[in-house]
Amino acid sequence: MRLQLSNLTYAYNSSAELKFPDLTLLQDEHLLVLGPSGSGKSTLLHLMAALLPPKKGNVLIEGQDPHTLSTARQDAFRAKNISLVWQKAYFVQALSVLENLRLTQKLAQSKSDEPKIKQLAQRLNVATLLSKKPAELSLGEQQRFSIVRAVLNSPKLILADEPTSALDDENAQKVVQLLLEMAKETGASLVVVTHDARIKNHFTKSISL
Amino acid sequence: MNLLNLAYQNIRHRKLSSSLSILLLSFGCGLISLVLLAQNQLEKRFIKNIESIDMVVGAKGSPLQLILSAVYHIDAPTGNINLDEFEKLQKNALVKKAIPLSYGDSYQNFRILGTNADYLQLYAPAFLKSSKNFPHTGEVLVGAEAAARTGLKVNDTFYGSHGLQDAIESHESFTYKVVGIIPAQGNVVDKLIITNLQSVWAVHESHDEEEHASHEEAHDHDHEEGEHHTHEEGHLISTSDMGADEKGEKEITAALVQFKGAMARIMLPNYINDNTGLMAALPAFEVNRLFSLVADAVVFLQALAFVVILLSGISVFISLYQSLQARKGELALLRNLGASRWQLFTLICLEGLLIAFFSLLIAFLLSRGILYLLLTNMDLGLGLSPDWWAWLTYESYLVLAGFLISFFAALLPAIQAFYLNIPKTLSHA
Repeated sequence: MRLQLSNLTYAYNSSAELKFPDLTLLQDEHLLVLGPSGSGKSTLLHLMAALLPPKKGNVLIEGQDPHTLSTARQDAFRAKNISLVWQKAYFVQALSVLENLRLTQKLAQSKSDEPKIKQLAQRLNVATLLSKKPAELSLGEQQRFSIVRAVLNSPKLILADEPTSALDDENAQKVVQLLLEMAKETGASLVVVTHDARIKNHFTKSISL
Repeated sequence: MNLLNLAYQNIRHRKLSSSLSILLLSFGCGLISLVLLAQNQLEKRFIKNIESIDMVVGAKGSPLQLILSAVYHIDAPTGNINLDEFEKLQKNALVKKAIPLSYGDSYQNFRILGTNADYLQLYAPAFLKSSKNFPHTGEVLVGAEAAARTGLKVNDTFYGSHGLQDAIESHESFTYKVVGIIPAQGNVVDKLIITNLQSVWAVHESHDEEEHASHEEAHDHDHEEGEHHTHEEGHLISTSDMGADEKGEKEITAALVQFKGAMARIMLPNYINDNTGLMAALPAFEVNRLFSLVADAVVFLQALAFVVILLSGISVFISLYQSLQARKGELALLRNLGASRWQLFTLICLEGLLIAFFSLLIAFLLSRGILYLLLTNMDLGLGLSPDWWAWLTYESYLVLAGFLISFFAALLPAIQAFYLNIPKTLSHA
């Protein structure tokens, strides 16, 4: 079992509580979480990524609950098993995209593997842009590199928070297609949370909040 | 890509604000370092040159001027004193040794100093031991720096120019011949051309009465015999035996005196100042007075430099703080990719410390560069000593201060990075 949520509750403060539906995700399954702004989509994602602590309930990723780990071990667990993609593509602006990707490998304690970076960049049609600084790229190009980064360390779970909301129709379709393809190729499960209904058709499994 | 490299890349990315921080910090530290080096160099050289001189005697005037001219050869002499007065002094029971100094000419701005072997005993003892003779009349020894600058070599001959400064008029009837080059001693001798007293007198008699120049050797001989004579007779006042008018013409500029016995320090300066037409000045006292004047200026400059360093600390803080606001997303990303809180904290601190490192590096290169230019181009009578660039203990404190200020400037931004709220930062971009 890739991911299992049970009885998951989050409290912003003592009066406001959010309860999430139980769900399980198998190894080759992908999930779309739809919901309007403020429905707690991002919160759910952050609970899965162990970036926020739940009030009650468990998150099991490959049978392990990251919330039971110390902060330092959480950081390591996340680096190894989970990658995140956001609406905005974050990069270290001082470094070239290639250096950013190598830093990703380094921080996850995996070996520096430049051929793999190049191969993935080629796969996403951005290999010629590797030496550029992030600020020199278009939003679509940046998002493609986010995807390269997301699959680079072969994570178990790719969590994407509104990955298509800032993009036009064409790019939105492409990005979600690529995310799914790359997840399949690297054996990861993809969870996308969004209010963007344009990408609904790509998923067989979805829930609404 | 380790943290240090990442910190370095981040600094390079913020070219303008990093440059401003480095500029301010290196200017502040460089100024302090330069002032410390210059002060150290000045004091070392000044003190080295008065090590074995207890008192300087010359014509009445400013005591400081007397010390500057007779010991350091940088000011104009206060005037001349009669040779017989000097000889009286030489025989004083409280005087261990009195070394006569007589100026007149210079060569390409290097002073030609008439003196005796005792002067070299004081400033170049090893050279005196190894060389056979002190120069005879018309012969000179050239200090290392004077030789290097003028290009004078052994067996060269030259004319002196009248006066101590620029050549207006040269004494073409009197030729000096170089008989030796004194190796660098790291003291005033390096900038001098040294001859005997008779040469100085001869060149000026020849100046007054050009046609009698050829008789000088005879005069000298008479004089030496006369001196000898008075010694044998044990007379206290040597001039009484000589033709007063002839002896009275002979003058020297000043005398360097070593005391005999503990009482001399207390008695002799007052005695000379009160009872003779001469002035006695104590180099140690005058130099300390000079240092205390310099020290005030040093304190002022250091205070100024510290203000600049503080400003640079603020600039480092603003630069890091602003950049932190702009790259919170970046830092949250790093956390997400597996970086720990402490790694982010260290990253920001390293950025501050790297700025300090580059600034200090520039500061020390700059201070030594400027010191080199000052020492080689300013006519202070202080050449380069072999250790002019050496590290000072004070500079270690300066390094510490530079790093500490940068560290504290980086501390608040670093703490912010440590407590960064990752989900909030990443979801509400």
